[in-house]
Amino acid sequence: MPHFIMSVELNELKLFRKRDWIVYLLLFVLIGVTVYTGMAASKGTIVRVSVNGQMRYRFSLDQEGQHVIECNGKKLMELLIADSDAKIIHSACPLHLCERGTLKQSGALVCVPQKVIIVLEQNGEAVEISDEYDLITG
Amino acid sequence: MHKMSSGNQNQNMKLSKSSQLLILIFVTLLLLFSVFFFFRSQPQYCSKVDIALGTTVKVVISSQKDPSLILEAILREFHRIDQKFSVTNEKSMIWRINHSANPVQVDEETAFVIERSIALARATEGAFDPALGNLISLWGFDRISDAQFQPAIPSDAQIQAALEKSGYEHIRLENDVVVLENGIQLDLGGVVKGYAIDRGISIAKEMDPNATGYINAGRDIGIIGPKFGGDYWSIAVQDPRGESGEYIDLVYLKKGTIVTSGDYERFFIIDGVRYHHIINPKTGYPVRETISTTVISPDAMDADALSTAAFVLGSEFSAMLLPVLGGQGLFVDAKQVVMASEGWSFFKEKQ
Repeated sequence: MPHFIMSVELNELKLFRKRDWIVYLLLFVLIGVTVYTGMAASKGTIVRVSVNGQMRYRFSLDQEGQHVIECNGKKLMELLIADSDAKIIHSACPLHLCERGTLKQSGALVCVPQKVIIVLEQNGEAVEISDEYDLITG
Repeated sequence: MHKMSSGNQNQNMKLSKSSQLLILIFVTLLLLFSVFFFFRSQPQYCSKVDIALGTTVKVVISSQKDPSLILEAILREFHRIDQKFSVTNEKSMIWRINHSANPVQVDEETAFVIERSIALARATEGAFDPALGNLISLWGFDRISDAQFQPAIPSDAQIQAALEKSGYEHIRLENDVVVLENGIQLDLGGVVKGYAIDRGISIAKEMDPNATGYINAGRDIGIIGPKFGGDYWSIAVQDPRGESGEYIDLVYLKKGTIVTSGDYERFFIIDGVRYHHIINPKTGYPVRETISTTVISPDAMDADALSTAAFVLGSEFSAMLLPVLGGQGLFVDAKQVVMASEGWSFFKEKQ
């Protein structure tokens, strides 16, 4: 008797029945879309460099290394991209305030004397990436 | 009888399974649509970053009207105010006032900004002073953003001479006519950024009363409206001696403004000594007792002036004074001791 009950239950729990594949397909599509959207969002993060209000450079956060930022043939600074973050190094400005902090720490890297603004961009919009707060003052 | 009953049971079971399948499909689709509509119903934020008033200005806005029009209008206003109240621009209103030997007739807006500055100077007993133009120019902090700026320390005699030509008591404003006595020079840098934030918020609200977002001008922040229309913006306060992005406190705002003055914002270092832009109006030298003050206030212009005043006055006195003047503050002294006014804790919770 226990053996009979067991076989019926197993039969009831059989994984693939007719038309059940539709449910699995839907779930598969749902999971796939979620994963793809998440991956696309992280891969689509761009470092956008503007000089004098004009967009001059766009780098993917995957383009690790030192990138020279120039305007009218004059070297303004170098942008270091590493570990999914960016930082200004070797700026030609007098006080080097723009070399403090990284792009993700600061939300934006700005060199006021040379009018350079560097922001992270996702889907064409400037974004700030912090899990802990929306904005920072000071 | 037994067979019939078993057959009916199987049929019921089949119907039940079909129903289950339909329910599963329905639930899955419902889930998909819920996710889709959840993300669609969240207001979409547009943003733009620009440079004005010697700093970076970021405007983030969500509106049912065209947000790009509001963004552009706010940034245009920042540039207009920058041009009009600049100390170094020879076409500005402030340049005209500072370099005129005669009384100067000013427009209503200029009169308002000067009048409010004098009121804030009186309220803080001169700790905030809009008539320190000679001192600020002597130190070079009005030109610190210029690519050719070369820092230098003025002599004691030069500082003394500039101090004698300072002080808001020498500003005369009557019937929109300004007279600067005793050779003083205006420098409204301590309020103009705040004023521009207030104007930006007003413009956004005039164009769309339901707009949400914020204006971030050199990390002085004015809230246009709650996050996603109803939530708080979480705002960290920079650790004045930490890496950029490291913070000492976190507050939550749905409205109002938050402004910080720090000795790390505009400074130069000579022989290992830091010389920053917040000058003590009594001594003529950069303030040494404080390294950071943050003020929350309904208006950015007030918050801007009060954060400078609190920086000069020090933590203990400011903790008592600020609530009287309609603000709350967080102060860090030179020993990195953090103190807050009594009402500051109100903003540390989502009320």
